[in-house]
Amino acid sequence: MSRPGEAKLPHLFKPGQIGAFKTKNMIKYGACCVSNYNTRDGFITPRELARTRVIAGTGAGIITNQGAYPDPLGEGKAYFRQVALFDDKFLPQFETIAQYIHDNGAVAIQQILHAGRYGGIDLGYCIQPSVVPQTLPHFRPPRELSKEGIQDIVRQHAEAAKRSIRAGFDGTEVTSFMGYLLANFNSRFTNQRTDEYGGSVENRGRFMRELIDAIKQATPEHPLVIRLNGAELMDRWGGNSEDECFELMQQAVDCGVDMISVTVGWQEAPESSIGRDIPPGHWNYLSAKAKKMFPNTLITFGNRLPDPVMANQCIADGVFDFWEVCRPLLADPELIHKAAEDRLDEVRRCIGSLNCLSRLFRDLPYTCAMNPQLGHEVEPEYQITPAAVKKKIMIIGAGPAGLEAAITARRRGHDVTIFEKSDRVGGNLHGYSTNDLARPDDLISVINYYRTMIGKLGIEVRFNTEANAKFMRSILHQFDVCIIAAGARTDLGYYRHVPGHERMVDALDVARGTAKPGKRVVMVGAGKIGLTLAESLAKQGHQVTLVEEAKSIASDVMPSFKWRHSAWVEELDIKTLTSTTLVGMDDEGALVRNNKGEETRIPADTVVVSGPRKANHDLFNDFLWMIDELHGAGDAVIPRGLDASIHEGFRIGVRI
Amino acid sequence: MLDRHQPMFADMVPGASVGLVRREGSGIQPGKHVGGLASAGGEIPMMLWTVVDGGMVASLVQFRGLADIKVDLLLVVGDRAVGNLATASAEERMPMLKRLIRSGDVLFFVFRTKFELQDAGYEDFLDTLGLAFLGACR
Ligand SMILES: Cc1cc2nc3c(=O)[nH]c(=O)nc-3n(C[C@H](O)[C@H](O)[C@H](O)COP(=O)(O)OP(=O)(O)OC[C@H]3O[C@@H](n4cnc5c(N)ncnc54)[C@H](O)[C@@H]3O)c2cc1C
Ligand SMILES: Cc1cc2nc3c(=O)[nH]c(=O)nc-3n(C[C@H](O)[C@H](O)[C@H](O)COP(=O)(O)O)c2cc1C
Ligand code: SF4
Repeated sequence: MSRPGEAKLPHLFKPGQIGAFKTKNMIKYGACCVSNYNTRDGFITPRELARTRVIAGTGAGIITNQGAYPDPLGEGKAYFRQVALFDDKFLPQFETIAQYIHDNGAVAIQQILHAGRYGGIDLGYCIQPSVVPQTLPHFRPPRELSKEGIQDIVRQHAEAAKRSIRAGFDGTEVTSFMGYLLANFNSRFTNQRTDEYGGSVENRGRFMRELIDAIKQATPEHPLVIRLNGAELMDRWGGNSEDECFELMQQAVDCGVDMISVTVGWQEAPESSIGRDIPPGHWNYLSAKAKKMFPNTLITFGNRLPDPVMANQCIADGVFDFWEVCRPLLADPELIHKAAEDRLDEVRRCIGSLNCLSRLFRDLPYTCAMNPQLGHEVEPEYQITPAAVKKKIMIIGAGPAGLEAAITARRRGHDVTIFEKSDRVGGNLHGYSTNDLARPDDLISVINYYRTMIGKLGIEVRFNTEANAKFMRSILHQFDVCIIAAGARTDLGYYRHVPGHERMVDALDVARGTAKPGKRVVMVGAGKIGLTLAESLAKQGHQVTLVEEAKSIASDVMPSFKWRHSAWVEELDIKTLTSTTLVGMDDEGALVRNNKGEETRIPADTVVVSGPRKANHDLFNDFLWMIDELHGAGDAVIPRGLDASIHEGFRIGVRI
Repeated sequence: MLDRHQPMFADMVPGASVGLVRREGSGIQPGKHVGGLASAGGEIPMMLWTVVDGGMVASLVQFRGLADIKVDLLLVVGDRAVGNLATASAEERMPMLKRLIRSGDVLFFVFRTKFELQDAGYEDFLDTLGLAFLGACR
């Protein structure tokens, strides 16, 4: 333990062992890497290799490579560009990945992922223990597996395991996580068989036991990890109870698995398992239970446990042996090194936004809201390299876009000054975090990260300075580049024709706390800003009615979070009128009209308007003839959201 | 019930259909769907809403088990949920249905692929019910 932070986190950074393989610390990079970067027929691409090279260098003692499907038909294939491992033709790239991992002194584990109920993406059907129809339209209609089919799959897993070892991996892992084939056999919900593979927990676990036996026989010298749910969150659908989950773990232990990775939830589960609304450490009790029940089997855990300090304590307290960490290393691949170097304040935290998984489910390559480089590792254009010409850069606006552009450009050696009209950094992210019901702490961590980096990189921020044409004239020729990252405003002009429009209150003022609405509020606009504010106000005891012109609410919300807003709207009893427009306001409240022309009066003390939004474009015209280079970033270009602002800020900063 | 919420079906193509059966008697029980998969052990009534040109019609047909089903979506409603829905006002029913789906008192199965449902105009309807149209690791 030579680095200063290692002594502070001694349990995390002590050496460990899995099977015959020594690990440099107690951290496992969990398979968080189905990426959709590969070819449609399962070959690994240079893009993937560049990404895995970064993963290999994260500093984890064990690195798990992404789940590969083991069958030639692709019944096990869940993702559009998932990698395959059913033939030797795929081996060369797996060899490269194993080599990357070993070059970094880590133990290499290859995951085998047969998606079962969620598989067959190219086939139009999926296979399951029994025909239980889907509850989510994303997935394909089921077909029942025959006994011969089961034996084929067991054999395919064993062959994929052998192939992994031949490629240079030290061990393998089978995943049931999120409701894949293994979970389907284990579960009471999807396993309705009447033969020896169905019925009792003993019978339902038979497939798993056969799988473990076959892999163990095929690769006797190599550790096998199995990912099993501690809770499925499917009880209401008739899924396994927690006790049954642990009975199944017992079976895996009895079969001699080397490590259990404890996970939570199915994709179909009606509640969150790893989203922003789940507080870090929420599921630790499941891991603690596993460790207590199976003291002689290695337990690894990490779902929604993003903090190394917390993980260190968990190991000390016997909650688990290895911290299994995924998304926090997507958001900041340097996390472990920063922890080891006692630089935790520089960590860019995973905010649990699930942008990554939302994209996978749209069959797109995954990206990370917080890490604009993720997925672009292969492109020199995305690397922070010293700028050929050092420039003086002025940035208008200290929101996420401006801040990201500033730190990126500064790292490349440019001289950067930010001009911010308010007295703090963070921009609209402040209002967002203050009103967020999911987990404000995560959003505040983003602001804190930027504040730290601005300080450490010596970037000057001139607060209370509004940039406009007059101001620009006063600093003429002092800068080479101007980046306009001044965000967006609510387009109040859109309601000019509405009688009483002067009574409207701007949602951004409410978000900032500079306007205080009365008890009864009409919120016009049910996009992400209107919804967040409406929920926050309702939580504080206001009576809120949402009025939205479009047919449905949350149209600009990330797919994996829409349901969360709908659920909050229900729970908080927020009345919602869609296909409805604001047509008037007076002392009594708001007058609205639906698409059939019917008018309704909604009694209200305050009418708050959250949309449409308008980019702060005006500055572009004002500055055009005053500076050598002029760029825009974030909501100032087109109002979108946090991810787009961070990504765009980075792309400008890395290019100038 | 659904026919009172015509705007939700505005985008749906004629022929799109949603069924509703009571869980009791359907053979579909949490963790024991096998009865419902094979047959309902006789015939029980199923409420069927079908989109037709210019609207939605409700009718009563026979449910003979999941294997034989001819609807795009099926709602399976437990006894308690039937009672709650029956006593709710027309305005309350949709939010209540959403809550009952989330609480597991109404089970929900889909019999068409994502693209088929998208083509048939179901995206809004499913969103309204609070269901993740695309996969939902959450
Ligand atoms: C209540 C609420 C909920 C939200 N919910 C979500 C959500 O769920 N998901 C999501 O992705 N996004 C959400 N957002 C939006 C998100 O916060 C913004 O998209 C993001 O902050 C945009 O970043 P930006 O840097 O482009 O602009 P901003 O954050 O708007 O920053 C612009 C900065 O420029 C400064 N500025 C403006 N004009 C000048 C000038 N002339 N001179 C000097 N400084 C100037 C401003 O003071 C501000 O600090 C929400 C916002 C709010 C308020
Ligand atoms: C982009 C992405 C890809 C993932 N791919 C896999 C996978 O291939 N196999 C698997 O078992 N889990 C996979 N997972 C789940 C993670 O391994 C992990 O269990 C989950 O993200 C929760 O842990 P975290 O909170 O540390 O991210 C993936 C998760 C993400 C976000
Ligand atoms: S996209 Fe969001 S959830 Fe995924 S790793 Fe990045 S910050 Fe975390």
